Order: sequence, then structure tokens, then C-alpha cells
Amino acid sequence: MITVALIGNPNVGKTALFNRLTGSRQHVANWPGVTVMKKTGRCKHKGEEMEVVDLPGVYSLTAASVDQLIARNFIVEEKPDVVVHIVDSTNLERNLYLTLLLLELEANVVLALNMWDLVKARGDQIDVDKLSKLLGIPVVPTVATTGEGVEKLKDEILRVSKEKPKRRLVVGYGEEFEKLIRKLEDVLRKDEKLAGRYPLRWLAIRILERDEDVLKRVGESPIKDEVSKVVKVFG
Amino acid sequence: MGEELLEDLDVVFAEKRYEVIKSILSQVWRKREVKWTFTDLLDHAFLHRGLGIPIFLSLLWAVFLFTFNFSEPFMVMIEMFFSWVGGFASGLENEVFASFIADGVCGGLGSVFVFVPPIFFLFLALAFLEDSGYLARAAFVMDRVMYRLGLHGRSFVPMIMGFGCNIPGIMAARTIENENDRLITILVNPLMSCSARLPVYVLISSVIFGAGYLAAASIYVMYILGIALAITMALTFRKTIFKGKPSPFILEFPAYKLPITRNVLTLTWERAKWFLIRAGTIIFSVMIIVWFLSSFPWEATGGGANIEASYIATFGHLIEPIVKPFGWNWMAAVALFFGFLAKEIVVGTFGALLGSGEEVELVRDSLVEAGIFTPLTGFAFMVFTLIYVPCVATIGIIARETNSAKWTIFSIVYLVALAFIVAGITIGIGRLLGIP
Amino acid sequence: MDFSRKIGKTAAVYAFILGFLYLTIGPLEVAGGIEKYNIPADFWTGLALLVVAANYLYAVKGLWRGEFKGISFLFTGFILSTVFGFIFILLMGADGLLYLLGEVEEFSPIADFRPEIWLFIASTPITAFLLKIKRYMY
Repeated sequence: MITVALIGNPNVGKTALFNRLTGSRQHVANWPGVTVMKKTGRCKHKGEEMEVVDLPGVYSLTAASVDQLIARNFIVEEKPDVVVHIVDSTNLERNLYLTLLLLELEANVVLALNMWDLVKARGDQIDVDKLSKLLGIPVVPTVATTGEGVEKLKDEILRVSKEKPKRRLVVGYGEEFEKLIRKLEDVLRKDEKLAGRYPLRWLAIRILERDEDVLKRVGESPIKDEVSKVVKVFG
Repeated sequence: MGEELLEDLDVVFAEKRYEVIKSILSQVWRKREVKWTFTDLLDHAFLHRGLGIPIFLSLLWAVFLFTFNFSEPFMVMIEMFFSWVGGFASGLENEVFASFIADGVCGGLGSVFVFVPPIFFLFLALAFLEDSGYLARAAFVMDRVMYRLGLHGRSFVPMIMGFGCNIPGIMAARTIENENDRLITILVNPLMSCSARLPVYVLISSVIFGAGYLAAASIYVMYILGIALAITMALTFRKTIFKGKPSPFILEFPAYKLPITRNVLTLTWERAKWFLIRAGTIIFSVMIIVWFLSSFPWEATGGGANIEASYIATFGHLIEPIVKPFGWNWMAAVALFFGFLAKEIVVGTFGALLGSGEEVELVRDSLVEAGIFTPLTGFAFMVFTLIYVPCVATIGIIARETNSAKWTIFSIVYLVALAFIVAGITIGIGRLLGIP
Repeated sequence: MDFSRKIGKTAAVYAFILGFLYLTIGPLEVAGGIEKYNIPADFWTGLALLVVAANYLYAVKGLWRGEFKGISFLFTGFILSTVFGFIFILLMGADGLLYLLGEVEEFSPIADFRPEIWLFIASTPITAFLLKIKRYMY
């Protein structure tokens, strides 16, 4: 069975999409230890069962808020087979930020360009193919309220879950920072537990950003001092 | 790194992400008006899923066609010039000095300068592609394929250039920002069979297989073997010394433009200049040494006519034991040794040792007569030539580009070791199969 | 429809003809050429010609409908035609030089006049088309 996580900014139609996918096979609970609602559901497509998890609506993936931590930890720890990022296509500039973060997390992302009907109505043009090419992930226009594009979305979800991840867009932060990142990666690689669990590049970038949650985990690692030598982030 | 610089990196990074988003949107999103720009037009085709790579390969072929065919007359002119100077010098009074100028200087300088036209034109063509903005798209298009082979998209052009000459190939690796990716590309480049090795293949294959299908096929096999080894070693390096995947491919598409002559010429000259200076000094000095060793002791060799009496022959017999297991004799050993200096010299060395002059047909006949190679040992010789240490000039460039004695020495050691191993395996398999 | 349909249809027909020509000559060069008609044997260039053909043929549908997509491939097809045409013209000159230098015994401009050259000449009207649609572009 494939696990599919749904993620996106608030008010992009994530709930509508979730309902489209799971119909009446839903289950509501709380995320462990918090009062945030967790919705899960089942979806069957072409003979395959998918477990769909609705992650909280977030704008980013920092350690600053509970919602973001929940979403982030689910992706990192549970490692869902596919992460569907649903965006408001009429507001790409703001919405794509999360996509980049998801790619940095090395998740298997499928981008759902929701509210496609609004884009068409406005007469705007989005080159879906080129966007897909540049990001390196499948991109599917959808209208969650009517169901348009959802079948194709399910196809892409299945396809991505079976294929090896292709070359995806990675944000480069400039020569100076890339050197630092590489140094950190080399140090982090030595802690097998950390390296096995989290993408190294993602860890390195989070360390540089002084992400509280990541710093805590690295602080518990035997290589903490070596990390300090590269970057003074502890104490 | 300064403490201040590390403050608020989350903001700095966030800004960078928005930059990337802007760049993506500018290429992907258009408001109501449906107008395209010329850049959009071209990108739609050049980045096309199906035709993108074939278009690139065709353009690359065009670059080769231009480089190697158009430079022919210029190469001839340079050869003629040096022949003329050489001829003029042989008429000089002092025999030693005459030989020095004719065989040493002209032979030496000549063999370097004759390569200036193709190298210049190759760089010119690539600079043209680069200034037009196309090369960035090509690297992107090839990146997907290269990634699976443990290489970076930008490694493709340097690898392809290596087929012409490893020197500009290695220099082209400068466009690769990531140190590891760049090092791997440089270390693996010599396995791309450069054009200097071709005369050796042609010679040996015609000696052991005669003219015809087998000879051509064996040469083709060399090129394929080179590519296969390059990929294997790249993947091996990735798994062992340079752990990690190829670095992120950073999206930077400048708008297309008609290349500006001045930019193109500047780019070209910058790179060609390197070849002239570096390769010129190294090869030149080494050719002088070769000349010296094969002409002295002067009286014994009769001014270079009787090779057997020269220092080279003494040296050759000294190193013969190393190559005996492969079934080669002292002449092959000497040829290989001098091939270290410049691969084309291998043919010339055989010519000198067998006293048949430098024309390929003549050397071939005398080689067949001398019976130095059997099909198996000859083939192994070709394999060895493919892999072992690149010419001195290339090593010089590797030293310069890596800026590290450690990696330069490593490249020499691993290539020589690989050559012995693969040639050894070839002989081993051949003997098992009962090939003569 | 992105630009004038009438211009598009003419361009589409022209692209089809060019594509067809390249599609014929390409395989001939790959297969070994025909000496009588000055088609040389050139495996790799033959393949490149097939790529040019693909460009022109890809362009036909888009052009017929007056879409920008069609122009893309027409443009790149034309770029490729020009590149190869130019190269072989230059090589004609190089052969001439070789003859003057005494390296080769004969120089035959006619033999050197390869299909790529006249195919390039045949594709030059595309510039007129490109200039016409310029006003539809940014």
C-alpha cells in the first residue's frame, strides 16, 4: 500500500482534494500529543490502495510552529511514498516556496496546480511542461471542486511511487555557502544514524539556518563537536 | 567564515529561494497576452523532451566536422613551414647543430604547433555556442543522463572534447563549479581516447589484422572501451573517494543572443593560449631530450642513424623486463615510454627504431617483418596505449587545473595501474581462449 | 491561434517539403551515398540530417495551426540547416586551400558541393517568414 501525504498552503483547496481522493473512507483523529486535527483516508486506483494523509496547511517548513513541525516530521520520519503538493495556481509565486522546501527534503513530490479553472478564466498561461521540466517533478493541473485532473493526478501518484526519483531542482545558495554546506555534509555523513534518516544537504542547510529542531538532534549526536568546528551554532 | 555572515541565514536563504522562483516563473508563467519571446521559441525546441538531445548531438557533430576538417589546410601549412626550416637546417655545417635544429627543434616544435589549428577552432566553436547562450541549455539537457553515470551535466562537453585532445577537454572542466565533480571529470578525461592515439591504433591494427574489417572494428572497440572505462571509473570514484551525488544543477539560462565577435575571440584566445604555452614548453623540452638520447653517443650512432647504439637502446633493454609478460619487446617498451611524452611519437619511435622513416605504411611493413606483435599482444598494446598515462602536456594541464601534486600523481598512478590491469586481463582472456 | 493562419499554412507546407528533402538525403548518406548525384557517404552527418528533418516535420502541425510551438522547430531546424550549410561551404574553401598547397592532386568544387549546401540555400526563405512574425513577438 502506498502512503500519500497531502500538503499545501492554507486555503488552496487541499480539503476539497482530500475529499475527492478519499470519498467517504475518511478517519479523523489528532496528531499525537497536540490538538491539531489529523485526517487520513483510503483511495483505490487501478487496483492499488493508497493511504492518504492530510497534513496541516502550512506556508513553510521551519521549526517555528507546531503545524510546520508536524508536517515536516511526518515527511522526514514516516517517509511517505509520495507527497502531493497542492498549490493555488493563481498565486504561484507564494505557493512554490513550499515546493522548493519539499524538494530540499528530497520527498517524492507531485505538484497539483489547483484552481486551474481560475487561471484559465483570467486568461493567464502556465507552461505546465516547462514547469515540470525545470522542477524535475510531475505537474498536474487540477480543479478539486469539479474533479478535473484528479484521475491524471492519481495516475502520476502511482507512477512516481514506482519509479526511481529523477533529477530534481535544487536551489544553489552561492559558492561561499555551498562550500560550507559541503563541509557540513562531510561531517554529518560520519554519523550513520543521522545520515540514514535525513537527507544530508537538508540537515546542513537547516543547521546554517539555526533550525531549533535540527540543532537539537545534532546536539545529541557524537559528531556535535566536529560540526561546531565548521560552524559555531552551539552555545 | 565571519560571524556576521552567519547571522540570519534563514532570511538570506529564503531570498535565494524567491530568486529561483522568480527565475522559474519568468520562463513558465505569462499573463494574459500570449506573446512569446525568441528565447521562449528556442527553448521550446532546445529543451524539448524528445528532440533536445538529438539537436545537441547534431550540433556537437557539427563542431567536430568544422574543427577537424577545416583545420587541415592550416595544419599542412604549419607542417610545411617546419619541414622547410628543417630542410634548410640540415644543410648547416656543424652536424650536431644541424641535427639539433632539424630533428630536435623542428621535430619537437613542429609536433606541438601542428595542433594549434584544431585546438583553436574547437575552442572557437565552443565559445560561439557559449556566448549565444545555447551551451547552458545543452548542459541542462545532458544533465539527466550524466547524473546516472555519476557525472555532472557540465561534464559532457569536456568529455566530448577529450576525443579531440585531452588538454582542452580538461581545461573545459573549469565550467564545473563543484570541486568533486570537476576532479572526477578531470581524472576520467584521459580515458577518452584522444586523436593522438589514433595513429597508434591504425598502425598496430593494420599490422596484426591487415587492412579491412577487423582492423576498423578493433579501433572502434578502443573508443568504446575508453568510454566504458571512463563511466566505470567515474562511478567507482563516486562510491569510494568522492562520496556523494553530483552537485545540484543550478538553473541559469541567459537569454539567447547572437554571439559578439569580441567576446568569442577573447574566450577562445584565453583557452588556446594555455595550450600553446604549457604544451609548447613541455613537449618542446622533452623532444629535445628524445633527440639527444637517440642521437648520442654521436659517433656510435652515426648521427642518429644507428639507433641500436644510442642511449635509448640501452635504456630500452633496461625496461624490457617490465613488458615481457605482455609479450612485447624492448622496442615496444621504448615506444610506450616515449608515448608518455606525446602519443604520436609512438609511431615515429617505431619508425626510428626500425630505421624505416616515419611514414605509417613503411613502419607498418617493417613491423610486420620484425614480427614484434601477434594479434593478441598487438591488441593488448592498443589497450595499454588507450589507458596508460596521458601525454606529458596533459599531465602538465592536470597539474595546473587541479593545482595539486597529490591529484596529479594519483592520476598518473591510477592510469598506469589500470593500464597494466586491463591489458593483463586482455592477455589473460586471450590466452585462455587460445588466441595467438 | 498565435499568429496569422495564412502565413502559418504557407510556412507549414514549406516546412513539410524541407523536412521531406532532409528525410530523403539523410538515410542516403548513412547508407553510403550515391556518387552520381553528389551524395557522399557520411554516417554521422546523415544522422544529423535526420534530426534536421525531424525539426521541420515537428514544426508542420504547429505552423498549420498558427501556433508558436510550430515556429520553435522551424527556427531550430533553420539554425541547423544554416550551421551545416556554412560548414560545408567552409570545407569547400579548405579543400581549395589544400589543393593550392599541393597536398591533394585535384580540386573539384562540384564534387564538394554537397546536398547540405543546397539544402541550406533552399531553407533561406525561412528568414522572410521569421521577419514577418517578429511583430507577434515580445
